[in-house]
Amino acid sequence: MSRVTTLQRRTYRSYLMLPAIILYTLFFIIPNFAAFGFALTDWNSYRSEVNFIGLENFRTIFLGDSRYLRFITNTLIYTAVSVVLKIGLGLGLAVLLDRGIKGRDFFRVTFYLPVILPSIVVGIVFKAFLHPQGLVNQILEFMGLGFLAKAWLVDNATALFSIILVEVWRVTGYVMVIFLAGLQLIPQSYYEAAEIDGAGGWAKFRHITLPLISYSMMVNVVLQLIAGLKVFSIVMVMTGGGPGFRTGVVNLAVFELYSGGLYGLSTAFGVLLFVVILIAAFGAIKLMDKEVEL
Amino acid sequence: MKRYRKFDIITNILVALLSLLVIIPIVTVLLGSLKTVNEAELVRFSLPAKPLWGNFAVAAKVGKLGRSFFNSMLIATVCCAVSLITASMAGFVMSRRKSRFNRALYIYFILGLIAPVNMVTVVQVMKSLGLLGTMSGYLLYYSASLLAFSVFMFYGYLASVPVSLDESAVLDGAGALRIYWQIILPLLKPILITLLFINFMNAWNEFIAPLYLVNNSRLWPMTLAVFNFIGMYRSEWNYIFADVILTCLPVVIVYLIGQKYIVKGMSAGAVKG
Repeated sequence: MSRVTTLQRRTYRSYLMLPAIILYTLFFIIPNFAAFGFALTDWNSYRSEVNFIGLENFRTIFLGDSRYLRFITNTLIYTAVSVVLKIGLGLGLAVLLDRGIKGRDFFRVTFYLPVILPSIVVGIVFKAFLHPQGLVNQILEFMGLGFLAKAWLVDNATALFSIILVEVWRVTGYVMVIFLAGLQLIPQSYYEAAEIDGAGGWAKFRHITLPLISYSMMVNVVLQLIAGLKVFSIVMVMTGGGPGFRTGVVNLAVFELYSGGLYGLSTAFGVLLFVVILIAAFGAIKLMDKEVEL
Repeated sequence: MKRYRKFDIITNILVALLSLLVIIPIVTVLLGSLKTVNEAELVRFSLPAKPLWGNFAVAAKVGKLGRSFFNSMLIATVCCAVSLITASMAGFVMSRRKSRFNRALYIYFILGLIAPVNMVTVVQVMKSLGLLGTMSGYLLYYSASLLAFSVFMFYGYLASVPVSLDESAVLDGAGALRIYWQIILPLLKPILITLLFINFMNAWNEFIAPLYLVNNSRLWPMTLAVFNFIGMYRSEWNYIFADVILTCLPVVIVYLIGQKYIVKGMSAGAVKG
């Protein structure tokens, strides 16, 4: 550990940090701390007093109304499926683009384009596309797959999965770019050496590419786990949680309970999400942070 | 690059086909925004009989988008300025003087990269400060929410900025603020530009924070305006798509100008070393 000299202390004065500390504490730390307190109360908009009720809100979430549990399982399904799809497709695209194809920059810019669009807008547009007479069914008919056409967002069986695919459409370019950065660090000579040893395409991918991009893999998994658990806007605009709570997710419960004036219960849902995200993120980092030397 | 030569053509065709998955939806929206209400009713991939450029004016007028466009521009600009200045000052001191307190402080900020904020209690904090439903309150809140990522980026970048320049400035009798302003800030230019683009787009695209914090329709940013617009024009997709395009236009322009910086910044944390 480096020692801090008086010169450093006099040169790099703490007051320069003050504006950032104040803003961040006020609008991030305090609300999150307060949430842990309010989650244990019956705080609502119908009465002015706020009573401590212990873990009652969490009991309601897990043992009360069964639709609350539904919000949690939906979020977990959404997260698991979307992470797997985003990572799989993102890695596939990155490997393809890393092959030195023609127009590589154009394709990189194109695949990244959906990432920069507001998620609310992506939700609106795909809601139109997934309409029974919309673009998706039109394309299916064009390809002779008309029998697959359905009301994607209204059908119980397809609503959640349709939203997942829209999110995958939006974010895969981001995952791809992070993998591309990792792939570009792998020395060409490794592949050449493997070829001399007679390694095929899969062997090279499995034993050179995959181990050497483990850091990008970790970054992608952690970021997409967090994003998946936090999902809100796209569900809010595409289905609002329907049909019959089949696409209801935790952050939607937070918003609906808040709008309905049940602040304590809403906060409890938020706290639950906070804890799950921390556990998932640090768990994934702990599991995946293996140092691989080039 | 001769890593996989014999697959080059097949790969190229495959990638081109996959890119249609991005291109077709975007072109459909562009074409749809120029159609009549009847033409756009079935959201299809087809040309309008006659492009109606007036749809944009109608959407802007009915959706009161002029005001929202101004609000979004104000939010994005102010939040960029506030977050970049405060985060670079904080990151500067934290990375230059690694005392135990400053190390802890760095982790304190990094927590915000991972954990979500509880919006319900943010509303409560804003209320007790008398800032709820005001533009200045929202500007402060959203600037704060950009800090974790910005501090993280500045802190990482400053490791590569030589300390020797600071030292010679100290010998010339410069104080902390002058070293920051005259020596460090100009050296931070590359990372400042990257963060300027990223923070601008995040501030422009934000939907959840204004949903909780901005009730007054006069203060709505574009994201809230378009969300309420679809409530009014449920199936008039030509106007909805025109609104959607106006909402996306600034971020798309920013992206096309700054795509090198943005992609570099987004993948910066993903490359160790």
